[in-house]
Amino acid sequence: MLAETLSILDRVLSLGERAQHFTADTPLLGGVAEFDSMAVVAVITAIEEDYGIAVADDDVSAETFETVGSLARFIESKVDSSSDE
Amino acid sequence: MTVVRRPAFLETPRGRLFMLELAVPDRQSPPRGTAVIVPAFAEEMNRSRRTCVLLAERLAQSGYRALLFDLSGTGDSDGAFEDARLAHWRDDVAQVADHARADGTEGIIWVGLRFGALLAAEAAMAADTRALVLWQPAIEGATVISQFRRLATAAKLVSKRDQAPNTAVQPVQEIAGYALAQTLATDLAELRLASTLESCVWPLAWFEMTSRADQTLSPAATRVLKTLPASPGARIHAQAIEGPAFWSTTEISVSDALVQATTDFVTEADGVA
Repeated sequence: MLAETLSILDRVLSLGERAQHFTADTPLLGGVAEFDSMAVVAVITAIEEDYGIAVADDDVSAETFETVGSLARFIESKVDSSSDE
Repeated sequence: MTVVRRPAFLETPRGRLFMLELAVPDRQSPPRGTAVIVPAFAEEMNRSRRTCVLLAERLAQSGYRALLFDLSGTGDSDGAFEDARLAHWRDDVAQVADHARADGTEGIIWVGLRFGALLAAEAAMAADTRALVLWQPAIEGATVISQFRRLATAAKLVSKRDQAPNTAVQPVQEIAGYALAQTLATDLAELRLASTLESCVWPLAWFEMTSRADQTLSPAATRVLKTLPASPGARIHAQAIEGPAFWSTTEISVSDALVQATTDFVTEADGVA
């Protein structure tokens, strides 16, 4: 899921090579300058469109976007809960 | 070949509508056709401008005339975003189509990006159409609005303010510098791509940007494409292209691959490849 998360971040933020040096501990909010509100929305939208799932605004918190790892765990939980249905 | 860019204003009941026409003037032969590029919604329009211009230039170099324009209440067109209504935007698109036809163009090539795909598809149904190209189309107007509203929630995450977001529905809501009228939001929520495309009878291209290595279409796109009835003339080209989500990237990005694939589709649909 980390690789898929990095690939979404790369597409949404247009980071080029930089995304490939990101690890699970890399901070996003406040850590990556490009990570503005448009980027937050674009990441959520990309998750919804890529996996065909719906993400409720209530599910999203600042912690979700704290690091690359926290975002990867969030995507994993969303994808898992949608395939259970 | 030098592409000439000609800015113009169309007079509408709402004021002046800004339009930019790109073409390579040629006294020997008229343009092969006219492409109308329908822009995305709000901030996505700003961020995607460069790729839209790139497409217009590429089409002009291929012998077409390309028209870019700003919907009423956006960009360089008259009006305030707060006063924009779906009916106005539909009329804007119709005005641009009339302008295109006034020069003797037969069959418009419609290109719509994101929200603009919903408007372009509607226009394609109404007007004399040669082909329809959808770029990462919004499938439902309701999603466009909910994603846009999300910007307000996201802004609070980014600024780390902890007061609860104001989710009460107001007549006008300020989001990312745009005054979104509830009336506009309600109107847009009615738009559905699948029902508009039901009677598509011309070549249709559906392009998506992806970061997936297997370059497959999103589940949502696959679902809509499955519902389209097979009809004579409706040749459907669906393709996922590796590259940035250029309508939302913080740093302005472009997709040359998308522009080229679109130009190839348009010329092939015309049989002038």
